Order: sequence, then C-alpha cells, then structure tokens
Amino acid sequence: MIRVRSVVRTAAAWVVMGVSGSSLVIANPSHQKPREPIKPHGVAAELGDWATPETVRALYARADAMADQLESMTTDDLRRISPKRLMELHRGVWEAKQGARWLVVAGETAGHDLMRHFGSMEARVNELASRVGPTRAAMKAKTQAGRRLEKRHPARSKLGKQAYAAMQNPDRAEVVLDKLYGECADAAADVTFLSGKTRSKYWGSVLSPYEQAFGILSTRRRRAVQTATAEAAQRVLRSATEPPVAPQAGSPPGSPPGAGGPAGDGSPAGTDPLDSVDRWYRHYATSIQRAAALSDLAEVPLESGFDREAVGRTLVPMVRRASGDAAGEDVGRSLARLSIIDRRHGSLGLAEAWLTDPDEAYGEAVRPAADFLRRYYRRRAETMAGDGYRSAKQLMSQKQSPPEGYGFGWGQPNRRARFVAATRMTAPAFQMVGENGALVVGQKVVVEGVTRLSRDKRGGVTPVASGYYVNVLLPPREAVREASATGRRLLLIDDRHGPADAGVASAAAGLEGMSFTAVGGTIVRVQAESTATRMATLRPLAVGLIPPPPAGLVRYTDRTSGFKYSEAIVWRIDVRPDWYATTTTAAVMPTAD
Amino acid sequence: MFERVKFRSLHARRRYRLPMLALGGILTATAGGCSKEQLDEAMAKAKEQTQSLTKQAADAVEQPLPETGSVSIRLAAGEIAIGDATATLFRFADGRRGLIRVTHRDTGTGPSILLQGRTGAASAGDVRGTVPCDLLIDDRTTGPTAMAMTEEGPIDVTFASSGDGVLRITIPPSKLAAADGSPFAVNGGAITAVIGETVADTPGVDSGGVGR
Repeated sequence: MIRVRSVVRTAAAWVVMGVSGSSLVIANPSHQKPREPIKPHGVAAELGDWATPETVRALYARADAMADQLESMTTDDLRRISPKRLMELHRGVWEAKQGARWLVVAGETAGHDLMRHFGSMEARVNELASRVGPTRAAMKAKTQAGRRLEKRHPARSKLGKQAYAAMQNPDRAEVVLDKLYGECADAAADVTFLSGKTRSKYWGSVLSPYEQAFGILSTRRRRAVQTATAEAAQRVLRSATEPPVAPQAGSPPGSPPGAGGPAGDGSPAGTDPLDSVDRWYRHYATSIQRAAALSDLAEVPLESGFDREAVGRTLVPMVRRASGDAAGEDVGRSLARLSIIDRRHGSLGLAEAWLTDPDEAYGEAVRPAADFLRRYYRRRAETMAGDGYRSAKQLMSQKQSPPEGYGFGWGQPNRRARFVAATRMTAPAFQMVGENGALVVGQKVVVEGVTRLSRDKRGGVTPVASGYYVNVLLPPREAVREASATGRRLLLIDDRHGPADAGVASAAAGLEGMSFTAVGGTIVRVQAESTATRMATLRPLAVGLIPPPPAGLVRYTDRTSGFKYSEAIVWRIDVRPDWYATTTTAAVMPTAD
Repeated sequence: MFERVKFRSLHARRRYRLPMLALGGILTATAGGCSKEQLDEAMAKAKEQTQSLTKQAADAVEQPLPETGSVSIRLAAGEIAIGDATATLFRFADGRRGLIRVTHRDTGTGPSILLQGRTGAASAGDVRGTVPCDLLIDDRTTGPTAMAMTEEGPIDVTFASSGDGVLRITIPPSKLAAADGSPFAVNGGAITAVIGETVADTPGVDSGGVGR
C-alpha cells in the first residue's frame, strides 16, 4: 500500500498547487473532457486511504499518464519501444490495478471504470512485451531481470511462506499485504518479458500469498463498507423527517446540476412563507432518495420509501399556517411551488390547504380557458418540435453501434450495439462518453417535463428515467411571465389577483415559469455519472431528479444479473434551448441569452 | 365538413323535434361515405325540409321550444355553427373584476368555442355595448390550425340585450392566431346566448354550488 499512499501524496500536492480546490471538484467525464474521473460518493472514505476521493483522482491521473505512454508506443518500429519503460509500465499497471480493486470494494463506480482502464493496459503491455521480447535490447533486459529474480527468489519464497503462516490469523492480513506489495510490484517489472511457468514461479512466490491476503482483507473491507453504507442509509433515513438546519453545512460531495447556491438546498434568501415548506420537502425527498441509493449500494433492503401520509401530515399544517400571510400574486407563486410538490406524489392536497377559502366561482369560471390553453400550447409545442426536433427520450433509448475512434489507441474496442443511455459500462467511461458525444451532441431534441431547480435558478432538470436526465438553462422567470400575458388574462390573473382555485395550480406553475411541458433545443454536452454517487449525494436543490410515481425513486432492481449498483451509470445531457412551452404559453427563448 | 353536419343535426335535435327523420337520412348518407357533392345536396335538401317542417311544426302547435341560443362564426374556410350557447356572468369575492363567459354544450367531438371578457356588470343581462373579449376556437379536426385564439389581445365584441332572456353578441372581423402560430382570420360572427344564472362565491361561506 506504500506506493498507493505516495501516489495519494502526489495528488494532494497537486491539489494544493491550485489545480483543484478539493476532491469536490471531481467533475465526471463529459464529451469535452472525457478523461475526468467518475465522481466518487466517498461513502467508505473514512475507512482508509484506499477509498478516498483523493485516491480516485490520483488513480485517474496515473491511468492518464500510462495511457499516454502506451499510446506513444506503436508497433510500427519495435526498436523504439524501450524495454525498461515497458517493464516500469508493467509494474505501474499492476500497482494501479490494486488501487482500482480497492475502489471496487469501496463500492465506487470509478473503481469499475478504472479496472477497465488497467485491464486494457495490462493486456496491451503484455502484447507489446511479447512483440518486443525478441529484440536485442529486450533480450538484454530480460537477462538482467532474470538475474535479479533468481537472486531474490529464495527470500521471496521465504516471505511467501511466512505470509501464509501469518494469515492463519486473519487480523494479520493487512500487515502481510503491505509487506508483500512492494515485492509483488518489483517482481511485476522483472517478469515483463517472461511467460508461462517461469513467470508464475518468480512472481507467484509473492503474488499468490498476496492474492490470498487480498481476498481475506477485501472480504473484511467489503463487510466494513457495507456496514458503513447501511449505517449511512439509516442515518439519512432517520434525518429525513427532522427539520433541516439551514444552511446545509455538511452536505456530502456531489454538486447538483446547474448552478448551485451556497446552501445547496435551493431556498432563496427571501422570506416567502412557503420557504420552510419547500425546504422541508426538498430535504425529506432527497433524504429518502439518498437512503434508497445507499441501501442499494450496501445491498440491504430499505425499510421505508416515501411516506406519502407522513409528508401530508407534516406539510398540510405548515401550508395552512403559512397561507394567512399571502395575498395577490404571492398566491400564484406559492401555488406554483406547491403544485410541483403535489404532483410528485399524486396530490398531497397542498394547493387545497393553501387556498383555505377558494373562490368556487373563480374555479368554475376559468376551467374551460385553462383546459383550452393547455391543449392549444401543446399543439404549439408540437408544431415547434416539427421543425427538426426529435424526442430526447427516443434518441437516448435507441440502440446504436458505437462510432469508432473513442477508445484507447490500441486494441479493438467493443462495437456491439448498445443503448445510447446505457445504464452499465460496456467500455471505459471516457470511451462511452466520447462515443455518445458523437452520437447526440448537436442533435435537436424535445425534452418533456422540465422543472426549474428553484425559483431563483436558471437551471432546470427532468427526472432520471431510462438511464438519463436533462439539464437545461431555462428562460428567466420574468421572461416566461411576460410571454404568458394571454394565459394570465384568460385565467383572470393580474398583479393583485392570483389564481383562486387549486384546480389551476399546475397552470400557475406554468405561468410562474416553474414547470415546462416541453423544451426544444440542441444537445451541447453529454456527461456520464455514477448512478450511486448521483443519488447517494443528491442535494436538496436537485430534488427534481427524483422520478414522479409510479417509479418514485431511482432504485436498483437488476440484482439478479450480477450487475452491481456500483456499476450503474446515468447520463446527463445538457440542452441549450431554442424554445419552450408551458401549460399557459409557448415561446422562443429570449434573444438576450 | 363532417363535424359541421353533425352539429347542424344537433342544433335541429334540440330545437325542433319533427325533422329528426329527415336528418337521420343525412347521417346515414354521411356514414355511408358519400361524396362531398352528394353531401352538400343532401344538406341543402335537409335544410329546406327542416325549414318547411319547422314552419309546419310551429304552425301546428304554435309553441316554439325554448330558445337555446346559437353560434355562427365565419371563417375563410367556412362557418362554425353550433346549436346552443349560454352566457354566464361570474362575480368574484376578492374584488377581481367579473367575467362574462359564453360557452355551449360540449359534445366532445364537434367544434367548440369559448368567448370571455371582463365586465363590471351585475348580471349577464346588464352586459351591453363593447366588451374586450377573448375568443377561443377549436374545430376539433386534427390539423395544427384547428385551434385558434386571440393571442395578440382581446377583440371588441358588442353585446346587446332586448330583455327576452338572450344576449345578442356580434363578433367583428378579427385576427386570431392558430395553434401553429400562423394568422387565423375570423370574418365576423354572431352569437345568440341564453342568459344563465349568475355564479358568485360568498366569502367565508361554504358555497356548495351557488348559482349552479
């Protein structure tokens, strides 16, 4: 482990030098920056260096450096490949792979990704070694390495035997592993040009006990990770119904899409009477989702999901208390917020609780107009979409053969057709994200069901579904309000009079620029993320990523296939909008954007 | 055309009882998939028959059925005709200006319109003169121009009442917008609307269906 630690120190120094502020800056691979690490959830970070975000970053940096070296070694002229460098690469790949293995144990998706990197590199190094082997330089290096191996062999054999003996006590596995690590790495370099029985004789004397120690230790660590993860799930679940302390100081790693506020809970600085309702709800919903993700990661059942009745019991009185303070247009703004929460649960009756004395005449008066507006602007959106926009869902859900040229500079990448929004890695993430960049960036799409992150944010998202979610820069709320003049007039809303019936709550969400039935635009960016990280670290601001019923939560249900939750990925696509539609208006994006 | 034929038949069914048999013939012909010419011919014939039968019916009983109102809106492509219309006045508890709204029985298939404008009048019968109104049209065909609305602002609609329980409403030639964003011209229209009960909510009182 010593070497991994030194790598960690290097990364830490790099961080201090200002390349990045902290592990939180890990960005996820995008088509523009495919080599960025997959952001870790860090659930097991406290268990040791082997599971920290810093280790993730350091291992990706190492993967990059080694990939660069390997890519520079073409087989056109074998004499230009230095046998020594190849030997060091063999060592380096082995070492880095050990780090990736621990990240897999830690339940980090990055670990699975890195295993693909180092697995591919290992195969490439061995292939190059077999080709370079017959050259004079390699023969010489091989002879020298053979001498070193022969010389160390008795000592290594002895060490191996002692290791087996020591491991009779499983508590000693970690110490044994540390002792063997350096010998295994040194031997890895020296066996580069050896094969078959000689390779296993010299390397195996330390590698076999190492693997046994690894097996013992990984079982223990896996158990510790599961315990820590399950405890975290319980903690998060318990905290779900506790009133959140604002600001959310201890929010876990994981930045929400779009711009994030300092507190990250999406609550504006103002004194809207419904802020506390909104904050409670966001905290509750994201806590349940986080607990669900953590329990999936720990492979234990989650005892409870959304408790619709508990939400209603808590929120309805809060809404009633707040309702006395609202007047005029505040009513509309508040209804817009409540309708979004209501809709996520079928209906909790929040809009009704808010309007303690609804005007039934109003409700009856505007019903036909509200219905007409909804149908009219749906058609307007269909017309706008007819101008070369395709359904984002259809684009992301189709099966495609990945385009060539996005893998490592060696080998034959897997080109079997896959879903664009694949939920499991079939190649290293940098390759898949590059392929998806070629497949979807620049495509004009229609995105349905976008919700604004919060009242004072420009970002909007769709819930996670079919392996992806969409991130959109929405028009300012004022622009939507201006474009909604007809809708406001038809719903009898003016500066002093808001909607006075719960039946128009969803129309209010449209009028207030909070929810959008459709957004048409161009995909400008595609990013791959760890589903576990995305969901386990979901911030209150990003509550809109949680799917509405019947799905309700992003859960992992595919356990039978041997595909772990920690291997699952989710795609984020960023859309630059050209136009938008709500239930009460449709308009092109303001040109100022 | 098919929708309008059905609507004329509805009109007839509500106001006059006798011509049903004659109209049944049209519907049969329509369902049988006849040509437009045949249809027009049948229509003309039926209209003639209807008028003559109506006269006979009125003569016979001397008791016309109660007025149900009617809608006629002229478009470049033809006419939207609906066999009933009701004008309802809404008054609101929160000081919001009232609403005069004209709707009709909705069959869910034929064309539909909605006319509404703000007024301070105490009852629908008191609405007189020019009222800026929104006009919404849905002829329920499938094309993107099948829905239109006063998206650019209200139009000046004239209301008149002669105290006989109906409002006579005149719609001037107007520019609407279709759902696909294209201009949509209304060449004018006339609505005879039966005055319905005023709908108002009393603040603080559970108004289980006031005025309904």
